Amino acid sequence: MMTGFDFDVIVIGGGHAGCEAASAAARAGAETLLLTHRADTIGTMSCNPAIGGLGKGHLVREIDALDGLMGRIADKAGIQFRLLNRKKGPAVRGPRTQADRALYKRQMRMAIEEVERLHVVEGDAFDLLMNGSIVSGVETADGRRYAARSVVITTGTFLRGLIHIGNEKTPAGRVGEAPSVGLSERFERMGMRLGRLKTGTPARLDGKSIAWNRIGVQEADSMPVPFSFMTDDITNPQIVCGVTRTTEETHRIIRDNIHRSAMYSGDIKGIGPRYCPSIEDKIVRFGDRDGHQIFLEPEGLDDDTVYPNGISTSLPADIQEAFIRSIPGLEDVRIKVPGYAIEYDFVDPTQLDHRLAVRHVDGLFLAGQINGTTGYEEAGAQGLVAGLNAARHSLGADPVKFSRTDSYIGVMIDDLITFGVSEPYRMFTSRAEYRLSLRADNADQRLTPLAISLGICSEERRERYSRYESAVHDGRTELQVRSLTPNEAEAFGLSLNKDGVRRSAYELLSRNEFEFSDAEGIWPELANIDSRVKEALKIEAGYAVYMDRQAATIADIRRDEARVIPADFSFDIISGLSNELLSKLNRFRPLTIAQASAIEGMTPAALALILVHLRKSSPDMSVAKRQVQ
Amino acid sequence: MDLVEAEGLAELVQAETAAQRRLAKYLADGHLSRRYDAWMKRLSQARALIEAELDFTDEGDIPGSVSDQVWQDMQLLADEMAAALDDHTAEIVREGFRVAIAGPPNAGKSSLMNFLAKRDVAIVTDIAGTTRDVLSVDLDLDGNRIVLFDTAGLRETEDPVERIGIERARQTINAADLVLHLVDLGEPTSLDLHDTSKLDSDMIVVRTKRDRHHPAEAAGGLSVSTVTGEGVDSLLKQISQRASVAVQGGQLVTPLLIRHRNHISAACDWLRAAGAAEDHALELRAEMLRSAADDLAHLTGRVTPDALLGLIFSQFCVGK
Ligand SMILES: Cc1cc2nc3c(=O)[nH]c(=O)nc-3n(C[C@H](O)[C@H](O)[C@H](O)COP(=O)(O)OP(=O)(O)OC[C@H]3O[C@@H](n4cnc5c(N)ncnc54)[C@H](O)[C@@H]3O)c2cc1C
Repeated sequence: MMTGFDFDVIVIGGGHAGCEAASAAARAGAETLLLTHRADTIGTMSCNPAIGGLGKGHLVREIDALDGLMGRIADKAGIQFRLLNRKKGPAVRGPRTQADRALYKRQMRMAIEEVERLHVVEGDAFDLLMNGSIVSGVETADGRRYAARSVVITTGTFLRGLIHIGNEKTPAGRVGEAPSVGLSERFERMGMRLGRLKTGTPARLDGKSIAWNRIGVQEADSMPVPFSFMTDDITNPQIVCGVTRTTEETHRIIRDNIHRSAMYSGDIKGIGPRYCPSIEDKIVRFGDRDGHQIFLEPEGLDDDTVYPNGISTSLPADIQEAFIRSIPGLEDVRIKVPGYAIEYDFVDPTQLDHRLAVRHVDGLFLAGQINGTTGYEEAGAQGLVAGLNAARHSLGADPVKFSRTDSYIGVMIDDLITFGVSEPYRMFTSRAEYRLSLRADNADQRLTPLAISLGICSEERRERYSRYESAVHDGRTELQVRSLTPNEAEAFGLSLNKDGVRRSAYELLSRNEFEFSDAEGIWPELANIDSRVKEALKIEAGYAVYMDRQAATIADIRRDEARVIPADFSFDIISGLSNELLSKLNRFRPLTIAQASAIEGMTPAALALILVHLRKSSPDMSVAKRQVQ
Repeated sequence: MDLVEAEGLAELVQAETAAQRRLAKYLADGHLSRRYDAWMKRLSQARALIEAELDFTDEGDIPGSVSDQVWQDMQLLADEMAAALDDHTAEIVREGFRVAIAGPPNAGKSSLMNFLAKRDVAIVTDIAGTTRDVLSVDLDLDGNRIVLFDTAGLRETEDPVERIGIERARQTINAADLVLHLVDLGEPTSLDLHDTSKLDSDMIVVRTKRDRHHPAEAAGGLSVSTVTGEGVDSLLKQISQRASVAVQGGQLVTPLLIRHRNHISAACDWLRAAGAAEDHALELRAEMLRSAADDLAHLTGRVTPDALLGLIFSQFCVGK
């Protein structure tokens, strides 16, 4: 490819979205340029030094299943692995680790440098080169021009970023880094809708000045569960975190000074989330309670900096110091860097399609915080999708669409482009309607075959995956061919319905209380099955009945995803829709029946009305018929 | 106007009796929608609490277990739904109060039917061939719709064809809200209806052919003549009273349409299943609540995951 172009794909920004985008584009066969401010900030964790969590952990597993970077890097940099929600079921389990910030950045940079066809250049992308409504490249602030057929923008919080500490305002993309202004203006000239959001980060503390012996601790899991399918062992030493709480005195100080917080003084115009990321929000919205929990997370193995998770703030530095010192264990703490809030431009993501491409501009893709999301995992997952599709756009291949029914990635993208954002968007497991099917444990089975067929999967992973697949298959057979009668079961202390029916080991495993070890007690040879395969088979057997039930709904949704609503379709002509639904339909302008069905207050009857009208208004009846059947 | 209200309007157009019009108006005015919405609100609140336990366990500020309270309330909600389903008022108003005319052969069942069919209270006048006996008649008694069913004469028989007719008669009797047990004044051999599910209170004994007998014989109890019309008004009055009681017993908020009943019954089943699944992982019980909500959503419209998150954020201090 690349005739007349310098590159197939240019990715602007070396954050979490940018790294995944660049790596995915290059893996998809595109000559790729990663253009970022500074090579030494590639993979910087701007905020909390942790990867994964509830919902977010799913995203990391999916990125990994598609042979992305984040999971592998987190395994190399993780210093406190914990699997959350262990007891509440496999579908809501969330792998999480704290990361050594420096190690993460170093590993990410190394990983980027290893990618074939990927070139890193430093520079400030200032403008897009356009050919009408077709993107043709990027121009840097110092006048360099790079031509490419596709451009992916992943500039995070940098677009007209403005940092607030009390009433001090500093234009910046992150503390100590200049913002990016040119691109926002270009977006405005192209008629794109921008909005403004805000987020914040807590002060960083000097760990040597914390009284660790006076606070609680949280330990890592004794058996760390890695993110990546490719990781066998976690080799980093695991650390403990401190746990403490705010006090009444903390609350008093914050309340007395609330007017000096940038978030409450009226200085910040950007919208914050409904949840409470800042300590000011917590105090204002939920009063005193019995204190708010704070995790003191060391930022690295050889780093004294401590990240106090739970007290992000935009109060003036002296007030920050005062309230932090009212917290047990932090009485004599030294603050290394004060916390701050940042306001930034984002692009209304309803202007994007499922590829994360701007609908009316050819070759322009957006990913990460620029689309109104928050979090590394959300950014990385979007980066992968945008990078992959940018490459396919340049190379003339079909787009790749993720669906709500196959991945959290699909859920997120569908949410973003259907509803847009009214607050920084963050992933939660409750956003996934097909949660039971979209588990962290089966991410590889869901997505690695796709990665293989798209050619973005390394040979090493492909081999390992096919070995795993056949091991699961063989294991399943082993379980299905071994069976016993209720009487035989009794000899092993297992009480079954005395119906004389033989039950296979696989059927027995579907019972809650029957663990794999119980099966081994009966058939010792089953112990030879690989432990990861055992776990997968136990979950599979237990969930089979629920999977079958969801499969039917999933088939419905897939059909609805294929029922396209033309862009010029008029909802107004449909009589029988309530005014409320009508105005929502006009606002969200769903592109498919599946998107329409996701609208709040939508009823099956209203969907039926839309379908009937789609059929009527379609000039080609055969197309419409296919849609409605 | 929401879907349920619109359905009410459609009902209104088709309403034939005063009670039906009242019921349809009740729907169209949104009373039923409000009840469904209240159910959905309760269910959403329960789901929000459970989802908060699933999505924010890593945040210290979610109370450890609100579950118990949730599962209790969901069982109460299921009870309410079940009670609504058990209340057949709306069905009676809409489909009519079913009265079966039963009795031995030649007790005068068909004569009574034909007599009533020709009176001005009969709604259905297009009786197929007046020569044939009427099988059912719709009456409007004081604003209530009444449907009278004729049944085959009940007696012991070996004839297979007649037996089928008798079996059908028993079915009609079982499904009826009221049974008129016809007895010829001259042959007071009463027949045994106790092998049907009817209670004595569901039955009125009506003695027939009063014109052929001495008035003294007819004294005490209800007797009618389809020749002179004597006693018929008093019979109709009794039926009408029974129907009014049946209709007023309910709160007129019962799910009216089959469509509603199906979804409510499914939602109710899911709530019961969730309540019973104590030994299951929380995510499975959460899934059952989601299924219940999906069913109710057919009546109220969809509650999005984002709306649930809104409920969580308004009650709990979460977010880091
Ligand atoms: C103060 C703060 C608080 C946060 N709080 C939270 C939180 O509480 N929870 C949470 O989950 N997440 C939080 N985050 C968000 C998380 O850090 C981001 O969501 C994530 O880093 C976004 O990734 P990204 O790749 O989109 O952008 P970033 O990681 O911001 O990366 C952007 C990259 O683009 C480069 N760049 C920008 N403009 C240009 C240009 N014109 N030319 C070349 N290069 C450019 C930058 O140098 C940078 O390398 C916070 C971020 C900040 C800054």
